[in-house]
This record gives sequence, structure tokens and C-alpha cells, in this order.
Amino acid sequence: MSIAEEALRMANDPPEYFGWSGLASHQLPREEWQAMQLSGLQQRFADLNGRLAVLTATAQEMGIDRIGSIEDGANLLFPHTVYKSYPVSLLERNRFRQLTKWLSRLTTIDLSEADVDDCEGIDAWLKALEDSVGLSVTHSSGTSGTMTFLPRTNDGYRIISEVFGMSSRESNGIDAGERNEPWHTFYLGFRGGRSHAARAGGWAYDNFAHTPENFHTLYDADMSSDVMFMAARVRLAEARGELDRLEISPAMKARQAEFEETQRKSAQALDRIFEQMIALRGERVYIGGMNGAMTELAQRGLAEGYRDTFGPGCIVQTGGGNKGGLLPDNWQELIFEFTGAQRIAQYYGMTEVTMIAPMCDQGHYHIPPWVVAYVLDPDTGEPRPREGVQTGRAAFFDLVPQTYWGGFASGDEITVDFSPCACGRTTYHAHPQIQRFSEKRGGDDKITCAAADDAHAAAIEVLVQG
Amino acid sequence: MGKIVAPAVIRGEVIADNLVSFGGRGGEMEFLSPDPDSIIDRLPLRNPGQMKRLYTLTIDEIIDYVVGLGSQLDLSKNEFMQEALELSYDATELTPSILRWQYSLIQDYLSRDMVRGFIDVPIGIPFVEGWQQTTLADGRVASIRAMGSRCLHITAGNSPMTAIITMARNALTRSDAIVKSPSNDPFTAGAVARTMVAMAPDHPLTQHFSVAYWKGGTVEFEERLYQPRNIEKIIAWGGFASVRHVTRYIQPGLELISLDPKRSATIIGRDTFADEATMRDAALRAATDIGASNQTGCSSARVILVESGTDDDGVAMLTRFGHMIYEAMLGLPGNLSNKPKQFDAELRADIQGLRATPDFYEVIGGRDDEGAIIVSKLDDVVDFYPRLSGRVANLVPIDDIADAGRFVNAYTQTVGVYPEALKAKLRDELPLFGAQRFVTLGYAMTSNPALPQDAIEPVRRMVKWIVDESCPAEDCPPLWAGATAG
Repeated sequence: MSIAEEALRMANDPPEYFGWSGLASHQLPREEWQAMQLSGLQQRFADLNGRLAVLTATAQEMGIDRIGSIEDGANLLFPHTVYKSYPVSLLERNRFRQLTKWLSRLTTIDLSEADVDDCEGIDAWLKALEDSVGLSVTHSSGTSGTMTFLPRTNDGYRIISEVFGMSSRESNGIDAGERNEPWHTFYLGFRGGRSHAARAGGWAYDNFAHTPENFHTLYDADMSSDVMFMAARVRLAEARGELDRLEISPAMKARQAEFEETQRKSAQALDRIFEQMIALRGERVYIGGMNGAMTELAQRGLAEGYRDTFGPGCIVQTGGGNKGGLLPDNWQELIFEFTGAQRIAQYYGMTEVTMIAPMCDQGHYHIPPWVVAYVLDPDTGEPRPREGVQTGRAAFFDLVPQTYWGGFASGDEITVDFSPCACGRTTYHAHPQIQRFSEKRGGDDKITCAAADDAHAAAIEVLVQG
Repeated sequence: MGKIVAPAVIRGEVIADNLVSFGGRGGEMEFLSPDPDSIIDRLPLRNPGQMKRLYTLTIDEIIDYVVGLGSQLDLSKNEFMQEALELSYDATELTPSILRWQYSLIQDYLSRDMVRGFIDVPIGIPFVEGWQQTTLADGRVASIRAMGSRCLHITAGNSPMTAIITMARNALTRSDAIVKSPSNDPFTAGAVARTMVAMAPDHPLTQHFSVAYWKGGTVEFEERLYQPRNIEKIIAWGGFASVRHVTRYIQPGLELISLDPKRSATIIGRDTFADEATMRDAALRAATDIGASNQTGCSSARVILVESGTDDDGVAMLTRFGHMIYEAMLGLPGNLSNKPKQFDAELRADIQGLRATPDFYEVIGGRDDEGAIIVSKLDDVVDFYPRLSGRVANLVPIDDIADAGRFVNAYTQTVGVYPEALKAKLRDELPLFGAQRFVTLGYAMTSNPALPQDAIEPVRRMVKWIVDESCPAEDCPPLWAGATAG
């Protein structure tokens, strides 16, 4: 098989290509996957240029009509802002026809027949896109007040879910051959939804639960995109002193009650899932979801005398950090003690890239071969040399997508080591210190006038906390 | 290479020992300054009684001092100011030509008439010079005087003028100042203080103006200094890292005068489009409000609401107007505005994102980080408007001037307006939403410290208003008499 054919096989379906083995994907000889990356990039560009409006415009402006080297791809990376470059008032005013037209420049899927005129919210809009034209959108949490919308397909999610399975098994020492074995699965979050985070419950189901009987979620509901958007708007309006001017449609107001109801039920939800956990003690379980809920459950379990509840074979991979310092310092130990787990595996990924990079025993995140990694100069956007250790803006070319452009410059500052890792994997690896540029901005003692809202919000928080 | 030093100046003494290093991270300049812990005991005025000496001076003598200092600060002669300017090039966001120009304005700022206005307009000289007597309806005779207080000034670094204004206000109110320099201008206030020491080391005004640097948010240090026994008022010019920490020290006896970071709006009315010449006039003025000092001021124009109409014709006209503003901005004099020294990479990504969205936005310029005009085609600001900087403005079409209120909020400081007559329509309503200052378009970045600032009068807040009440029993019915009668 030629390199071009190999590259396409890997790009179109990485899990199948690597036999659903995460470790295998990180063990291909370097020259092989590097050649496949270049070929994959060339083929994706040749296929999408001229069919994808934003790519075509970018390529024309840059005067690029073919890709000669991996570095050429760095000139065609979309800034992360492209997927949220719509006026946010369109979302507030339910102008979904215009939003659909905006989205149509970012996907080759024909959206002209999408039936979105009667949609009364984001949930309805995204469902209408799925039902009428088969476009399946993932969105960000929208904490900044604007949601990123990424136009994927259902097959794209199938691949991400399987990639999640590969990484999870790799990190927890489970053979690819055992991938269809059922686990008692707890997911400490919503059952589903269309945000990247909400979709993670589905990954746990696909890779571990496999059947509804094995699947226990903290909330027996999908996370509503409208509620997420509204929560962010409320927070922003509060910070700007504009709460009274916030326009909330009647449809949204009805859902606010629903959201509050969910919150009110959360205490009972913990009771319920705690009982389910205790009922399954000694069994082989998988636990995913949020660190906060897991810590609460662990505290409660330990208080009631439950230790090593599931033994060392259980998998815990909750996320969400320490909730901005709200969790006790020893939250991880509490979880280990209660569950019996010996680690909480760490991963690096983002909504826009088909990547759930596992952390190896050297403490490095390994970038899979179907994702080309770039490190850009944060100021100029110029790619840094792809050798040695480089720090700058993380950018990726995800070879998987066939209907939207995989080139993406993130808002993260990253350090990538292009030399081999002591763990033996052949892939490039990133250091664990990764942070958002937007959080880094401004220094700590500089006095400027910009970003007053954010600063005010932070100040208000401080005042509230006393 | 010699290390850069920002000495502290405390009560007439220049201190440059026990130096420790500050800054130097994330592209910030590194400099040395006395270890804050080594000077903390000398910073506060131990005995407030020492301020008595300030009352041996008449206001005319104080004005003489400030005006005299102004001429001493002449950049062509003053080595401290020359050094501060040179060193500041690396610390500031401003380009050298703009910073140099701002330094050159200091003398005009401190002319006799200007300085007199700084105190006479907000307070009235009679109130600082002596006791002003008034008889009230209940028969009491009140004498009121505005007296100085012990203030800590957390100054802003986006313009060296904040150091100058602080010095003048402190002297004119007969107050005692501890100035905490900002990391983006650690030198100007120090150079002013050193000039004062060189000019008149034992002068009471010199003795009551101290300057130091510590990193804002150094809790242990600040907890010791920010105490009612040391200072009565904190004047904080924005700087949230600092203000955030300051709020935790506020307690009875220690007042916060907050000049918060603000943003500004610009409102341009329909009459602007009457003819080409009017349009060009407005474009040049708008360009000035955006470009002056490279948009580093709170009063810099960022979001510009234009009553062009939101239909296709309106947006086409707005786009043409945007091109005029962009060209006028590039043509501004180099000491007022030029290509910004730095450009926010996140903002660059935001702008790049909009280029992919021609249905909703047109981006004029910006390819070389020289600044850009973003034309919204819908009546909505870009969602990243709080980050507009580096000469990037957002033109937003509106159908009716009444819609402008939607875009004004609690963080709106200056509203530049064109044509002039439109201000009368706006000024009674927009303050309800937050607008604080209305100004002729093109003048947003000029200011006079005699006027209210951020909707307060800082000088009236800086002083202590003392009252002496005389109650002659024959005019004021005595309480004790009432008590026996009842």
C-alpha cells in the first residue's frame, strides 16, 4: 500500500487503523507517521480547497495552492476564534437562519436545506441541523459568553469516542482485545448533550458500559445548550451591571426553572448514585465525570466507613481540576482511599481536535500520529522549528475531519518536545504545564483600562467572599 | 550592563540601598528598587502633627512651588526626567515618540492658571485657605475648611501624567502622599520626587511626597502599611490586581477612592452624513479619539455607535466612513499615535476570526498590527469588545440614537459625541446607564484634572471636610431648655 493510501486509512479511521490500541498508535516508527502526516495534510487540502469557503479564502489570501511540507500547513491554521466569529446577538435573538448560513462556510455539508426557521433555541437549532442535514455540532461551554460551534458529523463522534477508549485503556493498562467487555459505569455528570463535556458521558457508555443497565449517571438528563448559554449570559450581565437588561425569551425562562430544578435535585442525585456505588462494592467499575462530585462521594463513603470499595482494578478518570481551589487539598487521596483506585489518568485535549492525549509515566502528554502538532510564536503566529523543546501557541492539524478544516490554532500556551520521550513512545509529547493565553494576559501589576468587565467580575467575587 | 534602579524617595530622602529585583517575567522589564520591607517603617507619616508645617504655607506659595517644579521638570534640562523617560521606554506600552511627547506636555500642564484651577474649580481656594462661615436655618454658625489627609496613591501607568496630577493634587490639598508606582511606569513619580528633593529638600511639600515601588498584592507588606494609623485614604487608579487586594484592607478609618478602569463609547449622529466634508471631519476626530496615545487611555474610543442605519445602504455608508477613519488614523502625527509597540495576540486571533465572516463584519486594515477598524454589519458590538486595544475600534450601526443606551453600562466613562448638538439629547439619559463624561468628538483623550473624574470629584474626596459649629443659645434653642419645658 502506498504512503498516500496508508495516510488516508489512518486519517479516515484511526481506531480501526491501529486496531483500537492506543499504545500501538504511539509506536509506529517516526519516519512512517511523519510521512503519513504530510501525505494526509496534502490530501485533505486538495480535497477541501475550493469546497470549504473559509479555507478557500484563506488559501487564496496566502497564495497557497498546494502543500509541499508540514510547515506549509502552519499557514493554513484557522484561529480558534473562527468557530465563534458570529455576532452573539444572533443567538440571543434566535436568528438561526443567519447562524446556519454562517456555519455553512465552515463545512462542506450542504446546509441550504436545513429546516431551522421555527427553532426557539440552541437545542432546537442543533437538533434541526442533525435531523434535516446530518450535521452534528459540538459546542464549547460558553463561559466567556460566546459559544464555539464546531460542525462535526456523527462519524466524527464515533471516532472521538473510540479514541477516548484507546487512551483510557492505554492509561489504565487494559488490552485492546478487552474493549467490548462491560463495566459497571458511573458517570458523574449529565447523561448527554451537545457540548464537548456533555458528550463525554456517551464515551463512557460506548467504551465501558455498553448497555443501559450498566450505566449510571449523576443527572438523569441531558445538559441543555440553551441553559449553558443562558448561565454564561447571566454571569456576564451580572458582572456588567446589566442584569435588568438581559433579554430572556419566554422559552428560555421556562428552561431556567428546569435548570434550577436540576440543581435542586443534585443533593438527591448524589444520594442515589452513592447508594448505587455501595450496592456495587467489590465489583469492577469505571467512574468518569467531575472531580467535585467524586470528592463529595468519597468524603461521604469514608465517613460511613467504606474504604477500597472497588479494589485496585477499578478505573477512576474524573476531571475538572480542583474546582478553582474549592476542593480539599487531599481530594485525590480521598478518592483513592474510598475507591481503591491507584491513579486518576490525565489527558490533554480540546473540543476542536480528535485527540485525547494520554499522559505517560514520564508525565508527558503524547500527541497521536493523526494529529500534526505545531508550536507557534504567540505574537507573530510564525511556526517554531519542529525540533527540540518549543514553547508557544499550541496549534494542530487534525487529519480526521473530512467535512471541515482540521487546521486549528488554539488559545493554549504549550511546550512541545519534538525529541523522543523516555517512555519509549515515538510520538511528540507536550509538557504538563499548559495554560490559556487569555488567563495569562495582563501581568499582575500592570494598570490598563482594557478588560474591565473581567476584572470587575473578579473583584466582585473577592468582595462577595469577604 | 548596569542594572536599572528605581530609587524610593521618602520624605525628602532618596533611597537606593537594600535593592531587590522586580518584574522581569513575561516580557516585563526588570528593575531594582529598595526592598519594601526595609522601608516600610519610614513610609507612613508617624506623627500627623508634622503636617502643621503645610499650614505655614499660603495657597499662593503652594502654587508657586508647583509651577516652579513644573519648569524644573523641563525635559531638556532635567536629568532625572531624561533618565526616567529613557528607562520607561522598556516598561511602558507606549511607543517612544508618544511617551516623549507626553513628557513634553508636563510644563504646560503645570502652568499657573492650570494649577490654580486644579484646586479652585473642585473645592474653591477659600475653603483650603481658611474657615468659610455660613449661618444655617436653625441658627447655628458653621465654619468649614477642607484640610489635607494622609493618602496612599496607587497610580496608573498608562500615562506619566497620573504621577504629575497626583503630585499637584497632594500639594494643593496640603496632604501627605505615599505614591505606589505601577510596574508599567516605575520611574516618573520617582523622578518628580527627586526633582523636588533637588529643588527644595526641606520644603514641607517635598517632605510630604514619598514614592516607592512594591508589587501590588504583596499581602504581608500591604497589611502592615494599609492601616488607619498610617493612612486615611487610598486613591486607586484602577489596576485590578491592586484594587482587588486593596478592598480587603478597607475598614472604618480607611477610605477607598477608586478611579476604576473604565471603557469609553463614541456616539456619532445621523447629521454627520449630510455631506462629504462633515463626514471627513468626524472621521478625523474619531480617528484621534481611537489613536491618541495608541488607545491606552480609559477615555480612548473603542466602540463607536453610528446612526447610519442598519439597512444595506446604511452599512455601506458606515463601511465608507470606516475607511475614512482608518486612513485618518494612519495619518495622525507620530507623537500622538503610531504603530503600537505590542499587539494582543488574542485580539489578533479574534480579528482573524471575523475575516472569515464577511456576512457580519468587515475588517479594515489590521494585517500588520497597525490597528484596524471593525465594521459590524448588524447592530451589535463584537463579543470581545472589552479587549479592543492597539488602535482597534468597532463601528456599530444603529437606526436611532435612542438605541445607543443599549451599549452604555456601568463601565462607560467617556462618551465622545458628534455633532456637538447631539450631546444635549444624550446627557440627561445616558448617565442613568453609566456614562460619566460627554466630550466633543476628537477631545476624548484630552483632560483637565480640575474636572470630575469617573463621576466623582477626587480632590473633594481627598480632603477632610472639617466643620466648626457655633451655637449661640439666643439663636439656637438649647436642648436643655427644651428638656425642662417638656
